[in-house]
Amino acid sequence: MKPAPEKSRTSIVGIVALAAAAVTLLFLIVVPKWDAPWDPIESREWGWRGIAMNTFTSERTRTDPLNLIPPEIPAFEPSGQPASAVYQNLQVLGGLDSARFDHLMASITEWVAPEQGCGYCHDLTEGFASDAIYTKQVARTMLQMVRDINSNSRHVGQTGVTCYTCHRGQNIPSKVWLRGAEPKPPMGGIVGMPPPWNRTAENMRDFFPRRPFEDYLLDDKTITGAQARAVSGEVADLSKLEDIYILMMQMSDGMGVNCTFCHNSRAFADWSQSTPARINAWYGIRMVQRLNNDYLVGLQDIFPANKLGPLGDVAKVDCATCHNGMSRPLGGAPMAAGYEALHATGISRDAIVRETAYETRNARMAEIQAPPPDPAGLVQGESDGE
Amino acid sequence: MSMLSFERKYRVAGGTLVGGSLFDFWVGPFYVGFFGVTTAIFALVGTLLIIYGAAIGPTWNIWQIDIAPPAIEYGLGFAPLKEGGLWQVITICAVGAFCSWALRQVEIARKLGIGFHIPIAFSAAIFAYISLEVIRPVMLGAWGHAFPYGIFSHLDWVSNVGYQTLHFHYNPAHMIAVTCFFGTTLILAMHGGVILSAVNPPDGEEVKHGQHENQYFRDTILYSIGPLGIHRLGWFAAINAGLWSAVCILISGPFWIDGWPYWYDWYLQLPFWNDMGLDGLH
Repeated sequence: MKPAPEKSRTSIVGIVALAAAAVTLLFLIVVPKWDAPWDPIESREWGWRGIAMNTFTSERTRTDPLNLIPPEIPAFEPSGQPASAVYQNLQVLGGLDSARFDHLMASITEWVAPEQGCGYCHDLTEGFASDAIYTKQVARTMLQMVRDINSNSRHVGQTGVTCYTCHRGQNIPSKVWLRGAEPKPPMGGIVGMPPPWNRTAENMRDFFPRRPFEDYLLDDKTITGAQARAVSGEVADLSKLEDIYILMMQMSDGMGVNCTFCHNSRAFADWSQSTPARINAWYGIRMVQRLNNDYLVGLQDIFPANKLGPLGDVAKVDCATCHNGMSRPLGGAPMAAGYEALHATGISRDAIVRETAYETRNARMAEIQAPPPDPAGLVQGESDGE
Repeated sequence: MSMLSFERKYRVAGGTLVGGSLFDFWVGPFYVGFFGVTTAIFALVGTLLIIYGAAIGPTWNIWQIDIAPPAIEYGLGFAPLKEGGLWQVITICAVGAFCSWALRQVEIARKLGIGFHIPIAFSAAIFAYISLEVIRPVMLGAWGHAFPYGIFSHLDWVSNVGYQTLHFHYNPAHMIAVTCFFGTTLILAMHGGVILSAVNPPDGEEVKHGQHENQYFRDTILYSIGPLGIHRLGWFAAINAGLWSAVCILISGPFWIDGWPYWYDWYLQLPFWNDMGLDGLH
């Protein structure tokens, strides 16, 4: 008996399945915005070697045109007379040399309204002194805010900020946050997302509720209690955990880093296993709270409705507003150098203790390790009677 | 460990890849071969270096002994012995030992005239290890990206690498790898369960065989993959678990530096959403 001819193993199902897999793979290679090792990916290490506390940058994150340092605006020769002698209605900068004042005004125009020019804030028919346009009142408050930051913020330290740090040549900084509407069925009620997230989201962040930003960047709620403790049986509050995670994701994203820039993820809460950057970030959160509460929320009634959010709130800042994806805004360029008016009047830079958190920590570590010499000449531990 | 009565029949000479008949012998139950010798040397040197590393380190606490790769600043160069050089030599020993073991499996398979399914499967695990310790660090430009040899320290590494991309569970290749890991254990548990149940009938019942096993799965899940198929499926899932583990770590860093949750933005940014005229779209 002749053996039956071998059946062909080619199957239409197999071919279709293989083709579908190939198309899927091709799609997933081509469509998402992948990075590439030949960019090259650059990495920095923040913890002990080998425990992967590393951050990365790629070509895609290094070439954001918003992060280019703008050309310097050459300073004007001082005129020798105060601005208040030349202009009227100067509430903040009256004591500044008038040429330096002009230089600052020209710079602010370049930083915030390069296309609209002076007329963006000044009513040019009524004259420079007029406060008729709301943007002028906003600009004055913002000027006070910048002077406050540069004089009093531990977070900013020596670097200094200008309008450009946030605005980057745009009327409204590109990265701000607004209150989200309460989730209502059916558009957002089912999974507790801000409506209409399912139609408008272009980024994973758009799915997140805004509650964490209200709690931690506006109200001063404590950002703790997220870590469960196996030994004591302490249980984490999961809804709070999610809020903290959303805040921290914003932070990582806004600074172009990841969790390990500040934390050893094995023990997120433990300061002794965290990097010095976490101290600076702690000050940063307090600074953002203050800027939102002391300066931005107060401007809510001045803005026209079309500049406010869907719930009628003013645009507020978070980490990304200044940092725009870099661990130090504009790579740490001292943007405020040469603008003495951006530091509050009467307070010299040198007179203010403005250590960065890193320096503070190093100084404290040095104190602990090497106690200062005792003026009485006693050697510690050998003194009698103590 | 005496030899089984029929075992001598299968102890045949030849089939070696390297060394001809020089190492073609057994020590007790253990086939040596050229790669048995290299395995032993690499494993011994590597283990002794780990002990040396522990000895010059700050602790003998088994949990805290840590032999870490060089700092990232050393790039892909050699580091001093106490600053990661030890890790580099130990890694060479580990790769050497693992590959020797796989090649020894090949030699034994050749002796027995069977296929290479075992060394192929083991190679998937070796590939995952080499991806972590060699390929990914090379792609990122520094040995410092590899994991350290230490119980707590390597757990720190695992945790931190996960949080480097904010949430590792969103890594699509990690999802596939985890599915395959759980899948292959499920498959083994189902297979083991049906075999044990067939050969352990109640008192007074006869031992059952293949058709009972097949019928069990036809009744429960409509289909039995069969006695050969179940092993193919388990082997396939196990190997894919290792391969997709390698893929998931190779793309984390070299090909994706953002949070993995953002990887899915491509779906939200597909160009045709704007053309669909959906209510609420801006």
